[in-house]
Amino acid sequence: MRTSRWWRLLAAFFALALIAAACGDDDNNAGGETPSEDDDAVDGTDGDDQPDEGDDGGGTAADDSLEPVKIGLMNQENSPVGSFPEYRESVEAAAQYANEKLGGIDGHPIEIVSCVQASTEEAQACAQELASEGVVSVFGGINISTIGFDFYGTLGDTPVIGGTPLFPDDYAAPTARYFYGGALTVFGAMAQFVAEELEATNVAILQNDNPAGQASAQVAADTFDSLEVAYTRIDIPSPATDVTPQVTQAASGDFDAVLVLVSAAECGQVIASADQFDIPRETIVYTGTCNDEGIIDEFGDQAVGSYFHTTLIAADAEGDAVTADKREESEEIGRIQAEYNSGGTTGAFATLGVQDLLVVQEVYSSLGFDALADPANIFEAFDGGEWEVPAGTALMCGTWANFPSVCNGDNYFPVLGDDGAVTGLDAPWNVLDLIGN
Amino acid sequence: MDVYLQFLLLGLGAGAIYCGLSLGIVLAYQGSGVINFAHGALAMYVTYVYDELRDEGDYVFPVIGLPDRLDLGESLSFWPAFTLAMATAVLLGLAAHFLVFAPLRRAPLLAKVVAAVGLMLTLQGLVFLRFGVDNRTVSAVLPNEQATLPIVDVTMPRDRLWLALVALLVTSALWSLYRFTRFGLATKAAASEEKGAVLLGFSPARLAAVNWVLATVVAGLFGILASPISGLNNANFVLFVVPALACALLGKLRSFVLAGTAALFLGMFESVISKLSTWTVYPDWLPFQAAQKGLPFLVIIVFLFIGGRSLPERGTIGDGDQARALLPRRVGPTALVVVPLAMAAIVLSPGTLRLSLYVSLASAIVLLSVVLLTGFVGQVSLAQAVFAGAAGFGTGKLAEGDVPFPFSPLLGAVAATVVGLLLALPALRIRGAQLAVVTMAAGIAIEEFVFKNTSFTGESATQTVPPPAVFGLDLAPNRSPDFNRWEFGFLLLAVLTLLTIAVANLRRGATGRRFLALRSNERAAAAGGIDLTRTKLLAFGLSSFVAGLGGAMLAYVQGSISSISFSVFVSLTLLAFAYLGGIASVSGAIVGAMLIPGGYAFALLDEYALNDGVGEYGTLIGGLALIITAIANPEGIVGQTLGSIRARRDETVMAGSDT
Repeated sequence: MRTSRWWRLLAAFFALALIAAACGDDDNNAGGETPSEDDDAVDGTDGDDQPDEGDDGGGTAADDSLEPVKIGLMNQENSPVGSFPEYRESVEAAAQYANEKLGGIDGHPIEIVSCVQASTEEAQACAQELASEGVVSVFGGINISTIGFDFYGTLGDTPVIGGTPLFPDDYAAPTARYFYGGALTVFGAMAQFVAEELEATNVAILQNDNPAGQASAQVAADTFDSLEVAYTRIDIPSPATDVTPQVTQAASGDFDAVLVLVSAAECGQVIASADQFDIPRETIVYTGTCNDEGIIDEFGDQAVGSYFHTTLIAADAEGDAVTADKREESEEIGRIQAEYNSGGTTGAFATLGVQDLLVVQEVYSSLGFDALADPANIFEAFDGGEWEVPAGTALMCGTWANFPSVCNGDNYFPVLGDDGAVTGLDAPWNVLDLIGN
Repeated sequence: MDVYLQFLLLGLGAGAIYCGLSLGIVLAYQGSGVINFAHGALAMYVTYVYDELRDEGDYVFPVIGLPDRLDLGESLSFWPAFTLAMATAVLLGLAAHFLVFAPLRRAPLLAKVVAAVGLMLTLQGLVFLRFGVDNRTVSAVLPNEQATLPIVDVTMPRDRLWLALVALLVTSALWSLYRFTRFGLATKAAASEEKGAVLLGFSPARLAAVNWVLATVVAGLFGILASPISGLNNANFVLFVVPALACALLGKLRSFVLAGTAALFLGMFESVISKLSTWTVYPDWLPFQAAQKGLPFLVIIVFLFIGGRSLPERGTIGDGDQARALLPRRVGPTALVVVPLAMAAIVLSPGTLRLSLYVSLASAIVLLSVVLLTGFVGQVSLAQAVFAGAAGFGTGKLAEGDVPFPFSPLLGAVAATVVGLLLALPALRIRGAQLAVVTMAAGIAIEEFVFKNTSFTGESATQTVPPPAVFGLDLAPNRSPDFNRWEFGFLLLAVLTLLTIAVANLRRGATGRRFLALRSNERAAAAGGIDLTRTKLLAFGLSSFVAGLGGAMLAYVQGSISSISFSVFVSLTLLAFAYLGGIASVSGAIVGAMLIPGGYAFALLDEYALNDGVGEYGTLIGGLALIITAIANPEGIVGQTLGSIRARRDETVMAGSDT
């Protein structure tokens, strides 16, 4: 084939461009570098053990002349199979807030060393970089690609603190502490909820057929076994062409409750199909991924009266768990987002990022700067201390031998109301007490 | 029994989606001989345009650098939005034809496959940039209330029935178009023999353009009608192309009726399987998704194996020049220069740059297998990553079972060879496009039945691969925080060097000549006394063994592997980068591997030139680059460069001898 010089040049250019084609954005961002001057912003008084001196009405700023506390963050973004920039953005925003209003960590500014990945190769490079970077710990972020390599082996002694566990290895990692139990603990709690609260005796489990979905659904199944509740697991492929056959099974069987444990891509379809097949709404419990603003906007009216999982004690929710303190913490998180992350990406993990950073800031501050050099001190602080997730519940790291990385298994199942707000946010359900040891 | 009838009928929705996509694939193949892996992506793009018009009232422009969108009001009603989306489909079809596939009309199948992959990535990148990654819900177009069918007394949503009806109507319309109109007959004539069509006064290029427009319009139509059922994101429609391709293949890439019928049956089969999977006697070792997605592909492989000889190859003008398989010269001296350089790169590369080098070196071994099978023998395989994965998982299992290095990777590669030989069986009866899709089908079946099967991998769905060591020498790639240890790098380099020399020598020897003879013309090769069966089996066996060793090395690099590293889309990427480097050249495998995503060249650029990388533009640029390469540089970087150098040298020699 004849090729003109122009075409060859163009080809050469694009060959070079291709080299960078799958490149993720290695975004090294120092969360404490650009403190805001706005004193009206957020009231930093949080009632904890932060420095009080020098209060200018907006909290105490970290001392920029001190050595920063470098905390790594690995997160999946720009990948067609999943992109969660909201987690990173909210961690970085909260770090900025903490540096301005909470005195950073022990007076030292927090520096978030972010590494964004979009593939297994990039994720492995990120893990190696962070392990070599001298960070005190790594926010685990939301990472699907970590299943492709030895994530925890690569990080070695570097603790993974915060983020979301997805795969069985995440739950078994001795060097990780997650403040959110992830799907595995959620699904078990959902099973406990329908068995004990809804008094179901025969349950349909609509679950994604992938490793993470299967592992999590197995916990629900184990919980039902221990509670002597009959169940049928109905697999939904991901991506699903049409979920109607599976929802039909849930509708046509002799089930008195339906657990919906699917990814966000299938939530809307399942809600619509369940409504079409007249499955009683008060018998359906949806996983937290369905409790997404976009899904609720679009399908909420077809799910009013159903239960939706949450770990967040939202300020506009109603129920025994919504105490004045929790309402205030929830509003505080909202203010941090509004002030430091306005225009940021919205998504399911936005709040989690702020919660994670605030917990880490509090625990690390209690340890003091020097103690952070030894990972053992960090684990000891989490495992032995009494900490609470803002707008969440108490951490209980090290409590459950079967899930050494999980610090919190509390889950709520409020009812979706007409206006999108939820009611019945009462006592939490925690299946780890049942199966964790 | 009524229950199963109900599930059969419920499967019509999914079946209609596959039907719509498979019809478009047949149209594109009939029009231009392209197996359009991008067909789902075309449907996805048109649907996004439609949804944005409905939701926001914005028409989104695809050209980066120009204004993003045109505000047409708050939100458009169905018909204006649908009309604009269909107009977009027409333009997209014309663009796909004139900008991508028309320049490749006389190119070999491989160039078209690479361009189709490029188009798929381009559209995915565009959607990512213009519409984001959120899952979208598209408003229902068809009436979707419940209906109870008389006689059979089955209740189901009306829209599935409507969609199936549309699928049948479109299938019938296309069948009629091809059966009764001058355009259809001309397309069929051109598809079977372009030269004849030209002699009869038809323009194959124009016919191809119209077929592309039709294909894209059908894709968009079904995307818009089906997305309220399936949901819309930048992955699902791209993946729906796989079952649609299978159905198109069952229709022999020419029969709308067969393809459409197969698609409807596939949807119904998937639906019934979802019912069967809840049986108490349903076997634990057969995951639902494996049964649903894998079984149909096994059926297709068997069908094609049995009916293989009846599958026609599309006739084209010209022979579609194959890339020149240049004879490797001075292999030893070259190795003496390159190996020390590579050793220096291993030692001197800092941090994760060295990891990228290891990814490239291990990938180079897999790309060598692509060169061997596709470059030398002309067998387009989309299962190379599966061979690599078989060895990767095998190595891990064997090492866990105390089989020492180097026996564990060697035996792992033998396992890959067994898989390769099994996949060679269809190749004995089919070739070209059909073989590409069959290897893809087999790859998916193995991925679903084995790699994703927790009965095989364990509940973690991952396989740990213990690091290599021999005679007390620790060859582990990582001993955190000592990452990417040079000891492993040297091992990797040694394996690659040995295999490169072996493949180069194979190309220079009698076996290489037999391979090329087979690639050039199977009938002539057979007439010349070459045993086609033996040669193909040998090629698949060797290729899968080499790919297996590459897979084992990749597994060592990663320390723990899962199915995502060895999917069919990884195979497509490997093929594309082998093509980019030079599909018929041993050194092309090395160059292609350097350019691979996550590889050395990209890491160098990222480290020293592009501080912030290309981030969200990555997929788009990658797709465009593949298209441009397929069109402008079919010999690949090495083929083009070496060819030019040797041509110049030969001219100089000739000139010298003249004087």
